[in-house]
Amino acid sequence: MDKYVIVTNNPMRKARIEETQLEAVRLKFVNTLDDVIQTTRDMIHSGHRLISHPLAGSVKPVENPYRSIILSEETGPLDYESLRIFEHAVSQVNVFKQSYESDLTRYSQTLLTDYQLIDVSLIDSALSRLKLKR
Amino acid sequence: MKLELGNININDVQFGEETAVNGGLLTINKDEFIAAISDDPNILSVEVDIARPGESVRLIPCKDVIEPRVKVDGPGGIFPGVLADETIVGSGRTHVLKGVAVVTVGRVLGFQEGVLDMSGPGARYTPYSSTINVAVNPELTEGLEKHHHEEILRMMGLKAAVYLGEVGRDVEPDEIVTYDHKPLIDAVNEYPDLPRVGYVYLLQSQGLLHDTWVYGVDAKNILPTLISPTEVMDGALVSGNCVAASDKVSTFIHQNNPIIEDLYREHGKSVNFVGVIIANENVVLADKIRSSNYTAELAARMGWQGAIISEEGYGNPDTDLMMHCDKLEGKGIKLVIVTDEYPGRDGASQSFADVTDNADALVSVGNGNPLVTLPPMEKVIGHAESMNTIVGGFDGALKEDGTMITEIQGIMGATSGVGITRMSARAY
Repeated sequence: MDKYVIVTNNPMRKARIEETQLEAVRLKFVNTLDDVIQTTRDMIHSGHRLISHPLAGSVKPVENPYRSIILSEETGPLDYESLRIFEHAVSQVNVFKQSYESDLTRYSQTLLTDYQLIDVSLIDSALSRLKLKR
Repeated sequence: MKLELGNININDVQFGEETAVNGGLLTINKDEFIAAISDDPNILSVEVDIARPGESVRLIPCKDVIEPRVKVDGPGGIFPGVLADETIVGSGRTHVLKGVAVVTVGRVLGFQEGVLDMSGPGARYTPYSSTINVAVNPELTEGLEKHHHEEILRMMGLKAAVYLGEVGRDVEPDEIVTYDHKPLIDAVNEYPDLPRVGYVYLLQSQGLLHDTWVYGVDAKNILPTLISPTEVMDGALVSGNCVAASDKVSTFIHQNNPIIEDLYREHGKSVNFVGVIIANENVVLADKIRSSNYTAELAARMGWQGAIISEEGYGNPDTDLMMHCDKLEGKGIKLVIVTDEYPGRDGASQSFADVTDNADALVSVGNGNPLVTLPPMEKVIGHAESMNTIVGGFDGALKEDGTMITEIQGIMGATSGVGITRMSARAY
């Protein structure tokens, strides 16, 4: 069975993964969107492959302060396609840093919860496409 | 497969005693209309409003836009697999209330999007300021699960369009336009001297507020497949995509896809328009690889020599575009991309979340990032305060006098990836 790592700064994602106890999924919880990017980049350079697109969903990066990215647990030689897709995606994250407030204290809790839910739904749709066993 | 679209031109919409069309005037019995779209027990009340082109009216936050149509001859019904049964549509005759649209308005989540101004500078950016809009804005049971909330709103819009479309059943259309979609073998051989060109129609398919339905099937679960452009006109594609106001493809745009229109217009002149392939835009990279492989294979088997591809939504579909580009070009099929761009407010950054050397022919439908100021409107339908938490809006985007500042991406349909928009970009 293939195994996966989810890098996320989304507490709802973390809670859902802990609840469902998917044997094939390991969680790597970090604090910020920048941490998600940095951690994912490091993992790709360590030979993990990108499984989900880093820019899932149409809600713009930074506008949605939460992001979850699925990578392979297994490592191999550097996967250039993963790196290429990732670096192009990150260039778009930087575009949206000029568009949105990144200070989360200015978001209401309801809003934060909704952004978390969107991220959860996008990654759930990805997980549903992968062959996962409990 | 031959479809006649009978356009009934509507010049005004008023509330009245009965729901009917007389001499270009659509009257709506409001109570009957509300009853027809409110059968879900979670709908507590519905506000219905009419917004006409040129009026000082703002609708916000808008979800879907739908054109009222009715099947008057031939198999099936509008929105097959969703409101009608699963019968294959796309032949016979369909009547269209031209100039009217249903707009669903309402909040599903705390952050929302989709501003639609009927006059002023905002109106210039959106295709929906030219239609007389029947806005439906329901109040739903508190605390509904979000997927359920979205579904109720989506179904309400579709039911509203079907209810209104029904009044056109026995009306003699002002104009009849015929669209023919021939069996593959005939289509391929129809104009042997012209290049055989198809359309690759990418559909958003990623999760809550990011879905499209094909004959009622969640597009996440389809392999790329052939569809007749006339099936699309009869509502085979339904939008459940509420995010990224400017570049989402509403149900209205599916019904009136301008790339399909243009390919029909050029059919027999500059191209031999042989068919349409729909493909999804999933989150998982393996799905993107599988879909683009499959599309390219289908296109090659059908003998396409050229293709146009459009994307829906922002970000990761750029990878779908580029994968399709590599694979179609790899099979010798020349590809033209139609898409919007996000290169930042000054237009100086990278426009796309993915690129390939094979993407050497692209039609831009505009930059979603620049800021626009929308002056206050006399009437607001919906929730003006949404602008502070809108896609393309930001904290402080709503001024006390009702002025809104937004990125173009917050305006309904402003940079729609199928090119129904009023913007483009040129190289100098």
